[in-house]
Amino acid sequence: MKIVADGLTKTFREKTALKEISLTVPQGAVFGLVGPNGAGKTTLIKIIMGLLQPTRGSVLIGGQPVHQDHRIKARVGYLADYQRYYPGFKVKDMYRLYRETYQKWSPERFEELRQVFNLPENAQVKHLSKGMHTQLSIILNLALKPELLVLDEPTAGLDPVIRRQFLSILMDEVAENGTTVFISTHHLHELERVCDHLAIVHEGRLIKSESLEDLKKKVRKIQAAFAGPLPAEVLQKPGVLNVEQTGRVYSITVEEGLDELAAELRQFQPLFLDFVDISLEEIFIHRMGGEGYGFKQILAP
Amino acid sequence: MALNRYLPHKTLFWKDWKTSLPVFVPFFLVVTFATTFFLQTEIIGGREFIGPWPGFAYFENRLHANDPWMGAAMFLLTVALAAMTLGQERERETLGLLLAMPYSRQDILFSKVVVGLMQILITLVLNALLMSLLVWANPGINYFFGLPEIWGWAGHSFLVLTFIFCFTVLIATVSGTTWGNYILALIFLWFPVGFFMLLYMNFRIWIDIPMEQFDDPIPLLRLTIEALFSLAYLKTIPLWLIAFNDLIIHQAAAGIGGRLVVPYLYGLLAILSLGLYALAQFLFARNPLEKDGEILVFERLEGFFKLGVIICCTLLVGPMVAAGVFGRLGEEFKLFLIPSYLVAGVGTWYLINRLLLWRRTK
Repeated sequence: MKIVADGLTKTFREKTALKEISLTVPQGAVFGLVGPNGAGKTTLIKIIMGLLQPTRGSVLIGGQPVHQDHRIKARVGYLADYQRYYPGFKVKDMYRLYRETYQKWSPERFEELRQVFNLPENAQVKHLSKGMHTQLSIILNLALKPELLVLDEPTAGLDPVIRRQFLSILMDEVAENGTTVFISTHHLHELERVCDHLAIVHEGRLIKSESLEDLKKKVRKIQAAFAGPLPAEVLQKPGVLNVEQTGRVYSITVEEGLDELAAELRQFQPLFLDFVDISLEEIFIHRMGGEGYGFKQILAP
Repeated sequence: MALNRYLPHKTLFWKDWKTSLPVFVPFFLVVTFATTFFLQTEIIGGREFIGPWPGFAYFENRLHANDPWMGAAMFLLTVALAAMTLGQERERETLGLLLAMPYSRQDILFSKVVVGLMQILITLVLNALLMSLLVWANPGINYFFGLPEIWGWAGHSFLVLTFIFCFTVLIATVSGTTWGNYILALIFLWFPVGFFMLLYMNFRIWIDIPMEQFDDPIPLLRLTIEALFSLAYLKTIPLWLIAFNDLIIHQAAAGIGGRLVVPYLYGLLAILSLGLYALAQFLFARNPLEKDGEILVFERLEGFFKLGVIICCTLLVGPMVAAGVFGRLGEEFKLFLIPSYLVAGVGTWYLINRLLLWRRTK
């Protein structure tokens, strides 16, 4: 199922949480949404799910406006950042609620996943830990056989083993059923393993949205060593995201004009010059640094 | 036309039934205690009077000793039952779960209203049945009510409680917390009565009519208050039953034989309840979920609510401040009323703004 968001703006009283966000999630894609805390990721997800009404703009899921047509949600699984369930319910009550709500519900899939995560059927929801809560949410949303999975911080609270298990199950789901996945997370190294498209939001604005392959082709690092210091103007060209210097070795992260910069650097007769692939986490950190979001903001109270 | 269009979704119905049990159980117990259990006690106590009529005062005193708080509990629990319908979903953040499922907002609210009304109906019918059985199984005891009154009570109470329930559900669609729903519903259920009483009290102060004076210079206003008061007083069991029988007995003795409550009042209650439900659906469809947890979820309604509270507090606190200073009625008291109104109005305006801001930033 394809998602098309067009000009989404959301204002809460005086605060604008989203500013003119337009993006397309292709059918069958695993689309990662990243951004610092408070960037507007959860607001965007809630608008996509029809939980919040945008101040301006629209969202279509599978060509249908989700706000007007709630039936489209029968084909969508949604895992909220911390999904609350009815505290008086047991796991089996939640199973019943989902089973009787979703027509394509698979009891076999539920049982299979319940055993993988080892979740007791008679456990009271209020007694589940945060991680178990998330596991229950994962099981319920995968067992409804969704065509689209919207996941907001799905691995928060999960231990590394379960996290790996979840990602593997998610990949199987995509491979077997062609499920479209829209996932927001801070675990960028995990996202890098699973996603094929990426969007970065910051302060409510979409600052990047493209395929991961294109992004990683564009954003690369040049490592070079020089006998003497480089002139500052060379390192301040547009497209240079970050420069790190350790002794005579420079690590320059470049988003645009990689070849041009390399040609210019070669004029300074480097001792060596290499192109290095960089991780999604590095891209994110350098890209956000370019937006004025750095460690100062992260450490600020 | 498919029948299931008029029935709630069975999964939502099951879920709402299960989640509303913590209030439904006390509601059921209170009603049962106030009616069936009470009647059983009376029957046991009344056996000694088989034969000669013990006199009305005997029953009247016995019943009046128990009724007020039971009637109030029934009223308050109905408000609680309705206040919880949406309030708990908002506070527990499970409304998001429901809205992410393939249910419309209309389905969600409809199921909650049907569950609540069914719980009220079951409670009343079951107790009416039990009371009928008790009356039938104990012939020869002098009761001042029989089967028609018992079933009349059930029907009356259902309509009255339906009105209260629907009114509170409407409030629940404009307030974002259970306590907000509860308190605002109580305030606004009594608002017409309270408002007219306050107006009446202030008028009397201004035209120098002592409160003790029986002659009424403004009978229309007083009549309005009484009419509204009898509507809002609700007279649920056993309050209503007592008042009803009280009048029938006295009227019968006087040869009037009339009925206290006119049938159109019930029709009006039913239409009002439907109207309130329709309005609740209209507002719930427009509920901004990001305002869950705030006292009012619609910014546009804030002005109306503030104005209502400020006017009432001004009318109530103004005379209290003036009376506190002078301790009696008089010309100087009246002159002091104007600054008292101002102090009360500005004070309430300040407090209410602080309260709204506090909830918003919480």
